[in-house]
Amino acid sequence: MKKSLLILVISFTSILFSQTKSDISQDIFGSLKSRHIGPAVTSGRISCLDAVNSDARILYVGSAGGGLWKTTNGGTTFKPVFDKYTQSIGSVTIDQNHPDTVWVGTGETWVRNSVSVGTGIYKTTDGGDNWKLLGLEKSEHMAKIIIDPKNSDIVYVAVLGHLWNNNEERGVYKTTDGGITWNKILYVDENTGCADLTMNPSDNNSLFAGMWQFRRKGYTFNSGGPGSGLFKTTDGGVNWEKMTDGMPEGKLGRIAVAYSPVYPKKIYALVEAKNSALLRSDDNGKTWEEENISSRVAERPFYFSLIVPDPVDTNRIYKPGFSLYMSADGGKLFTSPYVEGGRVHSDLHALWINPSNNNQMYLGTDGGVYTSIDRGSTWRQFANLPVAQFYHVSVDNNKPYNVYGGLQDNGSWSAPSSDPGGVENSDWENVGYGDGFYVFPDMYDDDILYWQSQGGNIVRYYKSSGEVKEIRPYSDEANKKLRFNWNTPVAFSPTQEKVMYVGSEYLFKSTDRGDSWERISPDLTTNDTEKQKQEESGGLTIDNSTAENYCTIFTISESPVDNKIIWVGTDDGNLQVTTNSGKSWQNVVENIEELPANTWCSSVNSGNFDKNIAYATFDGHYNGDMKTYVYKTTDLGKTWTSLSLENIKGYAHVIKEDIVNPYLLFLGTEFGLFVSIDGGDSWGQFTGETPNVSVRDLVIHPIESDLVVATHGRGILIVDDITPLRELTPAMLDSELVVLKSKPSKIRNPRSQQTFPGDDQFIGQNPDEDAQIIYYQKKRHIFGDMFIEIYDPDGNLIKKLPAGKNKGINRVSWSIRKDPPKVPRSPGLLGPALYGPTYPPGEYTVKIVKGDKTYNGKISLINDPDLPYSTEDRKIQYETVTKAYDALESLAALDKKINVLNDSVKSRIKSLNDSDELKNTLTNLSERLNDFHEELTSTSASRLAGQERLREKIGDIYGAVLGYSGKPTDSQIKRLDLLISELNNKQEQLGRIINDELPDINSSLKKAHYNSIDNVIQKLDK
Amino acid sequence: MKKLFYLLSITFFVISGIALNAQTLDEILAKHFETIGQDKLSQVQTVITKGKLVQGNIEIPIIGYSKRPNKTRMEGTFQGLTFISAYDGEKGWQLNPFMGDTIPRDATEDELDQLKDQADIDGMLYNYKEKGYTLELTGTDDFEGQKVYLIKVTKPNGNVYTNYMDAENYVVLKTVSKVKVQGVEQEVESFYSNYKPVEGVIMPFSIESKVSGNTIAQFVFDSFTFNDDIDNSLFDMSSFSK
Repeated sequence: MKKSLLILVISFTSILFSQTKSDISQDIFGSLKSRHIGPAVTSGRISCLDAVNSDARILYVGSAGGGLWKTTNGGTTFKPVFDKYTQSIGSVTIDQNHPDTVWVGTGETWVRNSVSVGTGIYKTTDGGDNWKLLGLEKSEHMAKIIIDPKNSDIVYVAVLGHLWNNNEERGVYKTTDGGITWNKILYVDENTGCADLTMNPSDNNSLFAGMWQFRRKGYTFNSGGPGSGLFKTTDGGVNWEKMTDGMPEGKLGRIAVAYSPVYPKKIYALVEAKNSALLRSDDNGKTWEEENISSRVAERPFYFSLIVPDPVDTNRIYKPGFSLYMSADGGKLFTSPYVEGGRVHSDLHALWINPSNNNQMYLGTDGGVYTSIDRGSTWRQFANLPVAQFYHVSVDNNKPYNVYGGLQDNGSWSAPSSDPGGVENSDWENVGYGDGFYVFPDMYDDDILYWQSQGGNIVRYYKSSGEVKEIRPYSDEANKKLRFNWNTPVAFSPTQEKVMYVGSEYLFKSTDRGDSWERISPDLTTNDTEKQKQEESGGLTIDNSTAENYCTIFTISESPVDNKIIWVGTDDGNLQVTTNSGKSWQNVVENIEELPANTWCSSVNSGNFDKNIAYATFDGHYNGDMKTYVYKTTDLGKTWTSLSLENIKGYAHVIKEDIVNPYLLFLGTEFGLFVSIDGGDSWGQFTGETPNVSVRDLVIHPIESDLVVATHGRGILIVDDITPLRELTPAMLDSELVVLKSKPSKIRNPRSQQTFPGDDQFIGQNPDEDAQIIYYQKKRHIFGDMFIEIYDPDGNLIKKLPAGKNKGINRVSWSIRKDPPKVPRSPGLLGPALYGPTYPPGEYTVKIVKGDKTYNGKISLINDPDLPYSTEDRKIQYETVTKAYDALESLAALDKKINVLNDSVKSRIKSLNDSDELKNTLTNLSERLNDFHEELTSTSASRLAGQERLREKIGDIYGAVLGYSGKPTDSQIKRLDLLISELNNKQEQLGRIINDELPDINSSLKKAHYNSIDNVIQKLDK
Repeated sequence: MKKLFYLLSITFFVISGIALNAQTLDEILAKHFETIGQDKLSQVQTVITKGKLVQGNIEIPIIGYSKRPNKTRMEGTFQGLTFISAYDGEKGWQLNPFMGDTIPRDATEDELDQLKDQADIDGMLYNYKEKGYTLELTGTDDFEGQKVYLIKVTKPNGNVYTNYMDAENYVVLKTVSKVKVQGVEQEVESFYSNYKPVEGVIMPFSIESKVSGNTIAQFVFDSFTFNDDIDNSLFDMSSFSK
């Protein structure tokens, strides 16, 4: 055994020293993690959902960008079950014969301009704990998965395929071996994918497939073409027949198709065409009847092509769209199921109806999931699915600071970064409507916010009145319109009050908060008129919502070092810079080698320290190019260096340089958050409670040093206190252990609140208020001792803490409080004594002991400067609370003595004969000791007994003084002194018993040949 | 407080049972048992564990007793009140003054299951077949940059424990427990470290428990004492006295 241990230790050590080259990986971030503050009140776009037919409490929800969520309690609580994988979910299907088996197709198929991409099909067989990638990695968008109810290994998949370019991995796929191998069983061409699939409920070889020809570009969308069509197979996909009779005339677009689950000859098809229609076949597809051509069935097919037959009533069908429409007569007449309610989001994408109780439904919308138990009349939102899709984020300098941002589909919002009890739904405040993008607080006027809705509708918003002033610039020419991006850039000068910029094709500057604008550039875009035909966008169904506005400025950055330098990036691939406040501009994009022409500039940011430095990201996915483009210039754009590396995943959205350490960079891509500590030479993905979610914007709080992350799928994530990342250098990565700096810890009491909201609310975590001991270690600690000691400024050891053991950065919380005071034993807990008093301000020494080595660091405690108490008042508080603390401990010691003494007395009583006079003496003493104990402490377990003894009285004062960091009241100080003299009296009382009574008792005991009882007290005193 | 002690008990039992693996499950287990000194551990008749449970600023001294073949007791004291959970080989019981108990009560079925695990000095990997457990090497994973074997233990009641066995050192670094409590699944991650030899047996002197990524409790052990006499009455509910 010893030998094997020795070998083990040697091999362990050799590993430690063999690795000489530093290597940044996700592991270096160790226990750093983000906290999620929501919002869940908005939730976000839901693309698909499925529930267990035999137990509707189990529901899986696929979101557009926030992953897959599962509830097992009908929505009271959800948990994400797909965080290691791609967060855009296209389809989710439960194997109803084995409900722990679930298939997920990644890549949403409601293909709006901002849609994400998938990376294949996955399967779990254990209810979501573990997932296996089973192929179709290049499909990008997956519309439907159907499991053969007679053979779970046979699965059909509707693969929509690429949105932005041609690809061949699309059509209908089938596996007969549970996903090991796949056959493409229906393929039209590289522009046409399968948008919907349905299986005959009584014939598992009969299926219909809706094939869709479609294409999106940054500047246009096309739905429809010769590839589209409705196809039928009756032999499990070997042969397919294209439906022609009864179809609408001309080219077809997106098609949704669904068998009635209860009448296998009845099929509904929602067919986009010049005249879109709902068709019905009552003879298994032989003939089709047009049932409805109203706008309800025709609206926005790329977003709402879905028809859901009721699983009980053959004539009842639902059409989700801008609202939920219901037909009770097979599609002829549509009406609203919302009889008494209907306050649900206005974009609907998924509907599940319980096959054994069609009153119960789950509805997936752009505002999350709703449930109805009255067949759609009224709905309850699951306000616990935090899958909001932010475009941007900003912060103010309030305490705690507020976070601002705009959401796809859900307007503009603000919330405190922390709040008593956590950041709850009710802490989120809706400040603007429409689709939300940039939201900024005015840093010079607390009453003003700026927000915008799609296509450049920029407003100044007055919080106190709720009034909104539109401040967008207009064209100088009556017949012309400025070209504003869907997500129009607004930027504030980092150095000049009231100065803001807005980009259309021109850059505008305002020095009066948007009341007037000066155009400070020519058209900075390519101004390609072929890409400005948005009125024709949409294909068969024109859809000009500003989402395809193009040849526009997309990103603006004024240099914090030199405000004459302004950078601008455009959606059509220009990167322009002025060094003279806009008098002249230079397009420097051609200096970026290897960047394909016309690649969307997703962000440009001036360096914070050197005016010649700038960082830019480009996003080629609009052209089907998924590479990560990240660049840096150190010469104002003349030359560029790529900072992109193989281990970065996803097309790039944003790069930010830290405001303290220029080597610390943060990069947001479609698949996550990446961090570099060496100026971009190497990157690691930040995965601490941060899934592979689209990161659209980043801001570093200038005071709190938090990194605030705007995700397009998981709301706002905050990485608290990035100080350790600022400290970490590549050289340190080879060290066994390095102690890193942390922010000074503020001495204050936590806020509290009393609410009992139930379990169905999302509550965003607050930052850890404790002091943070932070260190980096090269490898996880496994063998031998590792712990932390803390020494006060005088060098006294005051605390021993368990150490963090993980590889990379460790963050260990220290409460900065003394251990809770000891208190006399009682059947109930003494609430105030659950906490010790905080230590006074000063520099405390931290020693991290690891094996035979010790690593020293410092941690400083400071009085919270935001609290108004004088040093003298705080000192009085500290002295008073310490006095009360000591009093409780003295009381505990006194009570213990009494109890121990009484126990001894009782044991002697047991040994004595009833006739013995000593027995009476001892019984009397025991009774008095018992009474004595009961004078010191409550003896009731009931909280409501109201027994107030010395323990409770001192505890009360202790708690009151502890709970306020300033000067205690005179009454409290006086009361405490009074209680302490009472305590002294009690101590004297025991002293009298010990000194006056025990000697006689002991000599009597000795005389009677019993052990004396004074030694127990002596033991305790020691 | 109730939940804390529940977590404590589900974390605690794994101490002696943590293993690691190699190519095949059996090889991996063999290496693990060799590493941790299972042969020595098999000769251990009683274990007394002393340490503390740390939760935030609260530290609770704890003491655990185990005696072959299947007796166990654990207690923790705070503000003079002592929580006890115990199993005498037949009957499980608990006294939780923090929940208002003044006299012991029978353990629930779920608690009993955990107590039985806790009473198993060898842990669940050793002689797992005889214990009726199913072990499965479900693959390997990267755990903070090091390779681990994933050993899944499934108990007849459906509770699942996935052990992350260090592929280099053959000790368990982490266990993910999925345990049903009153029919509701609870997931706890336990991380083991500060492994040190005790009379030839490698024991983890530190265990950190996390729920949803947040540390909810840490156990720090000062000592494991083997083969001291432990009176059977300690495990017996009827012999409980205040």
